[in-house]
Amino acid sequence: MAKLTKEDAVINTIVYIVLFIVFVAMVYPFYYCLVISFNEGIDASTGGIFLWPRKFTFVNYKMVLSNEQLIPAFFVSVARTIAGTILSLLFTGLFAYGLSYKKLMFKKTYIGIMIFSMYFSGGLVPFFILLKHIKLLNTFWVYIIPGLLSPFNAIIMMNFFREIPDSIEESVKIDGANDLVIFFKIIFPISAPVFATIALFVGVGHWNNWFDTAFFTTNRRLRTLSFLLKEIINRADLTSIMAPGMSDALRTGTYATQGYTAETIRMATMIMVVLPIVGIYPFLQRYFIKGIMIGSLKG
Amino acid sequence: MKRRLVIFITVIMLIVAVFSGCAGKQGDSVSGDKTATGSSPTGSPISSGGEDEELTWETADLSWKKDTSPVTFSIFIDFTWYLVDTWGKDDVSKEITKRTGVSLDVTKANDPTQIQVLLAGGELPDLVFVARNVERFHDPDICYRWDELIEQYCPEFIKLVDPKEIVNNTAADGHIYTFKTHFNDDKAWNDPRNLPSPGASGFHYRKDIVEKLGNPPLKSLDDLVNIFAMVKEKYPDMTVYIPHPTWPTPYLDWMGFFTPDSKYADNGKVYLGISQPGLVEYYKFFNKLYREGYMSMEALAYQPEQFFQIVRSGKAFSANYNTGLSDETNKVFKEQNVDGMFEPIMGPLEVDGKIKYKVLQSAAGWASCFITKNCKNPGRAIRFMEFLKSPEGDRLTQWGIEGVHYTLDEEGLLVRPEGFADIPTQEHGAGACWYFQASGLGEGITIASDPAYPLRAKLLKAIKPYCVRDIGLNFVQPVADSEEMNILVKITELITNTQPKMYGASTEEEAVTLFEKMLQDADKLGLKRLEEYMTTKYNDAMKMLQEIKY
Amino acid sequence: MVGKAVEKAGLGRQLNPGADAISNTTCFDAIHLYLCYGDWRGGIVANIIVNKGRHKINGKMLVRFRLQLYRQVFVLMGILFLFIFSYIPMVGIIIAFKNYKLASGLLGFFTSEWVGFRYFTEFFTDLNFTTIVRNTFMISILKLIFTFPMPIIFAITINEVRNQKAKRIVQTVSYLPHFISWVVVSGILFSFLNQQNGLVNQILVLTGVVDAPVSFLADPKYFWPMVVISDIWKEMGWWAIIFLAAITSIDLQMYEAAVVDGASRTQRIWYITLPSIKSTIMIVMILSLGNLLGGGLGGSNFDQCYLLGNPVNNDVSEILQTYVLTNGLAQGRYSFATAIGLLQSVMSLILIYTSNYVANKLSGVGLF
Repeated sequence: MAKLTKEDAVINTIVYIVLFIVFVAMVYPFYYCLVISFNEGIDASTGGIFLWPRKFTFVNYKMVLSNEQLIPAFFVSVARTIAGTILSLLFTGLFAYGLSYKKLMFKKTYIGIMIFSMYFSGGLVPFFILLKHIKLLNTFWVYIIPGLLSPFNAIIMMNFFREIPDSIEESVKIDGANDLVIFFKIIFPISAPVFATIALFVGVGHWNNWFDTAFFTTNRRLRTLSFLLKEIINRADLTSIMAPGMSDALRTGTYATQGYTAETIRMATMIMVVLPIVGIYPFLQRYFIKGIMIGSLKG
Repeated sequence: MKRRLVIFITVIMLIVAVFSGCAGKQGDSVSGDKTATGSSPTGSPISSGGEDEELTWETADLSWKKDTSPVTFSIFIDFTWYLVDTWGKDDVSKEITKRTGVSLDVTKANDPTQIQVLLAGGELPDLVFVARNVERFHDPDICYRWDELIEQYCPEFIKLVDPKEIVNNTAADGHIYTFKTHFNDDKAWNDPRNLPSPGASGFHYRKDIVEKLGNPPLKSLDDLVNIFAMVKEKYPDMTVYIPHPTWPTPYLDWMGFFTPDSKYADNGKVYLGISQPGLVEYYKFFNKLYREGYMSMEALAYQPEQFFQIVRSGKAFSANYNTGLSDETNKVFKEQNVDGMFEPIMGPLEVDGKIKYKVLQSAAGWASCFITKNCKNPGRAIRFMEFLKSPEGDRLTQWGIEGVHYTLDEEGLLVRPEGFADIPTQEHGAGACWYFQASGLGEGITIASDPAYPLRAKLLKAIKPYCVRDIGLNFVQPVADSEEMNILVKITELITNTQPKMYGASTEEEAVTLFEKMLQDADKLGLKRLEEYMTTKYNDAMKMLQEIKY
Repeated sequence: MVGKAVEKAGLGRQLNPGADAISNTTCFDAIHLYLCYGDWRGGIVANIIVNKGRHKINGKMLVRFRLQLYRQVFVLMGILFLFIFSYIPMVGIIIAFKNYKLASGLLGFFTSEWVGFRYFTEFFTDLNFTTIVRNTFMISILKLIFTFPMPIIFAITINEVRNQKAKRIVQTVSYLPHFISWVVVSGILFSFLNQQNGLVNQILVLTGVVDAPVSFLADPKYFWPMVVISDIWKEMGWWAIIFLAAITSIDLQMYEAAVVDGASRTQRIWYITLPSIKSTIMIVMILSLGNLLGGGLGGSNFDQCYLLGNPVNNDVSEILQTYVLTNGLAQGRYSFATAIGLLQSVMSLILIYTSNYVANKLSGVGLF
C-alpha cells in the first residue's frame, strides 16, 4: 500500500485535476455572487466585474436589512421551520415505519395510493378551495399541516426502516411494548441518521418556501423571511421591467438614485438565504451521509 | 345657433391657447381645467358659461364629501413589482385618509397567478387593481357594476365623465365595471402639455461619436445605415447597433408600419400587424443590418437587464428601446465617468425619399380598479373612486400635495421643490402609488415636467404630430378564455419566434421565405377568424361612439 | 420476498408460483390488477382462499389486522392525510375535459360544459407539437445520460482522494451551487458567456482558441449542452453526497483482501466500489426516471428552459412545461394546463412503475 505504483500516480494526477476543476467551478460562481452583492448596482450593471467589487458598498445589504418587517418575519420563518420539520418528521416517520412492516396488510394498496399522489394533482385552485373550507387559510397551520407527509421522504425512510432487523423489535415486543413505544424508544434512536437527512430536506424546504405565504395568507404577521426577500427582489425588478403601455410614472423617482439594481439585490438576498443553511450543514453532515447510505441499501 | 357659436368660440380659444404658449392668466385657466382630465368636455370654463349649464367637477355637489367617516377597504394589487404595499406610511395616502376617511388594507401580488386563485377561490378583497385579462371581472357575480352604484350613491359622477370615456369602458354586457386609468379623451390629448406614451419606440445613438465623424447628414434611413458603416470602419471594437430584445423597433415607425403583433384599422376593417402589405420590406432591411455586421443575433437572446448592461458599458454605438433610454444612460455615464453621450433621433427619418412615419397611440387606458361583490360598503367605495377620479384626487395621487410636493408654473407644468427627486417614492407617495383612477393628462404633465428626462420630453414632442389615435381599436382585444384570445396568443408567439430567424437569415431570400411561412402558419392558426372577430367588435364600437350626442 | 411474507402468514408454499407469475406480467397488467384488487398479491391470496371458504380467511385477516393495529393506524393516518390533501383536490382533474372558467369558482368544476378531449387535440395538433415533444424528451434523456452519472463519478473520484483535508473541503463546496436559484444562475451565465464582455469569451479569444467571440447564448446548438452542463454544475455535489455515503460504508476489509489478491486500483473501483453502491444507484435512478420529463430529481427543466430560453433558440428550448405556461397558465386557461399536466402525470406513473419493475427484475432492488 505504501509504495506508489505507476497506476497510483496516474490516478492521483487525474483525481487532483478533477478536484481542482470542481473546486474552481463550484466556488468561483459563488464568490462572484458575493462580489456583486458588495458592488454598487448601476456600476455592476455595466459588467466586467470578476474578481473584486469595483465600487464597494453595503447598500444592497442595507436595503435588504432596512425592511422593518425582517425581524418578525425571521422569527416566523424559524418557528415554521422548527415546528414544520419536527411534525413532518414524526408524521412521515410513523407512516413510513408502519409501511415498512413486511407483513403489513394491504401494503401494496397503500403504496399504490402514495405513489399515485406523487404524480397526480388537482392543481392550485382546488387546493386553495380545500384550504379555505378546512379553515386553514390565513393561519400559521397552513405552513405546517399540508406539509406533514411527503411521499418522497417516506420512500427514503421506508427503505431505511426495512434494514432494521426484526429481532430488535420483537425482543422489545415480548416486554409488552406497543409499536408507538418501539418507534420512539428503538426506531427513532437507531434511525437518527435518516431523520437528520429528512430533517435537512424538510427544513431547507420550509426555510425557502415563499409560495404558501403568498398564496394562502394575507395577514402581515404571518409573513416569512423568504417571502419578504422575494418581495424585495420583485420590487427591485421594477427598474428592469417596463411593458409597452405601462404607465411610466411608475418608474419616475425609482430609477438609479438608490444605488442598487435587481441583480445586486438578488445576489445579496441569495447570500443571506444561503448562509444559515451553510452554517447548519456541518452539524448535520455526518448524520446526513450515513442516513442516505443505510436508507438506500435495500435488501 | 347659439350652440354652434359656443363651439366656434371654444375652438378659437383653444387655438389661441395653443399658439400663445399658454402664458399668463390664460395658462392658469387652462391648467386649472386640464388637470380635470376625464372631465366632460363641457367642463371647460368657456362652455360652462354658455347657455346649457352643465356640471363640472368644480360646480358639482360631489357625493364623496357627504361622508368622510373612517372606513377601511381591502385591496389586491396585481402587480408584483408594485412600489408600495402599505397604506398610511407616505404623505399622499395620509392626506387621502385625512380628506376622505378612507384607508386601504393593501395586499400586493407576489406571483402573477395569485389573482387567478383568489378569483376562483372566491376570496377577492373589496377592491382589485389589475391590468391583465380584466374581462374576467366584467361579471355581475364577481364585481359591482359602476353604472348601478353611481346611480344609487353618486349620480353626478357619471355626468362628469367624458362620454367617449364612458363608451371606452363599456363592457360587453353594456355595463360599466370601472374606469380605466390613464385614459386620454380628445381634449386631454390636444392639450399642448400632454405627451404620447413614453413607451413609444425610440432610437438612441452616441451623439459624441457622430460629432467626431463630422456630423454626417441624418435625414433618412439610408443616412443612418451610412453612419453605421462609418462607425463600423472607424470603431471596429464597437457594437454598431444593439436592438432591445423585446421592444418594437423604430424602423417600423419610420417605414410607416405598425408593430406586427398590434391591431390596426383600415377602411373599417381590423387587421393584425403582420397583414400589412409590404411588411416584408422591414424584415429585409433588418436582415441587411445583420448580414452587413452591424448587429449580433445575441442581443435578441438577452434578458432586458442584460441589454442595459451592454448599452451602459459604453461599447454600443446605438440602440433602440423606449423613449427614455438616452436620459437614463447619460446619467449612468456621468456616474461612471464614461466619456459618451446618447441622444435619440428626434422624429422621423425619410424612407425612399418620403416621410412615412406614424406611431399608433392607443387611447385605451391602462389598469382597472374593480369593486368586488365581497365589498361590504360599495357605496363608500364608489364615492372613494369619485374622489380619486376628480381633479382634486387626480392631482393628489399623481402629483402629490400642492405646495408640498409641487407647484404649477405659468405653463401649467410641475415645479418640484428642491431635493424632491432624492426622496424615495414610497415616502411621498405621489405618482407611482395610488393612481387607481389616474388620468392620462396628469401623467403626461408629469412626464413633460420631469427634469431627469429632458431628451425624452423633446422626443415625445417630436413624435406627437405623427401619432395615430383610434379609440375603436380598444374594443378589438379578444376577451380572456375565448377561442380568439387563444389564436391571438398563438400568433403572437409565432411572430416572436419567427422574427429573430428573419433578422438573422443568411440570405435575403431566406428571410422572405421565412416571412411567407409565417403568414401561412398564421393563417393555419386562424388569423382570418381573429381579424373578422376584431372587425365586428370594431364596428360595433364605432356605432356606439357615433351614437354619443355631444 | 413475497413468498416469505405469504409463508409467514401461514398460507402455504403453493401460492408462490402464482405470485411470481404476476410479477412476470407487464407493468400495464400490474397496474390493472392494482386497480381491480387493490393489492395484487393480497388479491391472489384472497381469490385462492375464497375456494377454501370465505369466513375462515376473514377471521384470520381480522386477527392479523388486530396484531398490526398500531402500524395500520400509523399508515391509515397518512392515507387519510393523502386522501384529504391530495385526493380531494384531484377532483380538479376533471376540468381537463371541461371548459372551466376561473370566474365560476368551485361550482364551475361541476357545472362547466364537457368538451371531451378538446385540449388534448389542441396540443396534438399544435404547429410546434413535434418540436416541443422532441425538446422535452431530448433534454430529459440527455440529462439522464450525462447528468445522472456525474454525481457517481464525482463521488468515486472523491473517494480516491487520500488527502483528508482536500477531500472534505471539495466535498463541502461542491453542494453550494445547489442553493443558487436558477434566476441567479442565468444571470451568472450571461456575465460569463456573453459576446461583448463575457469572461469565457474573453479568455477564449485571448488564448487564441477562437478568432471571434462565440455566441453561446443565442446559437441554438449551444443550448442543450448549456442546459446539461449547468445542471451538472448545480446538482452534482448535492446528489454525490448520497453516493459518497454509500461508498464510505463499504467494508474496508474487502479492499484489503483485494489488495492481497493483487487487484489494481482500477480493478478495485470496478469490482468493489461500483457493485457496492449498485442499490443506491438503482433507487436514485428510479426516482429520477419518475420525474424524467421534469428533468430528473432536481426537476430543473422548466426553470432552465424558461430562463435560458429566448426567441432565438426557441426551436430547441420550448418544452412541455414552458408551452403550458405561455398557452395555458399565463392566460388562466386552467383546463388546458390541467390536460397537459395529466398527460405528464400518466407518463410519470408509467415510467416509475416500469423502471421499478425492471429494476426489481434485473437487480432485485426496487423502491417498493
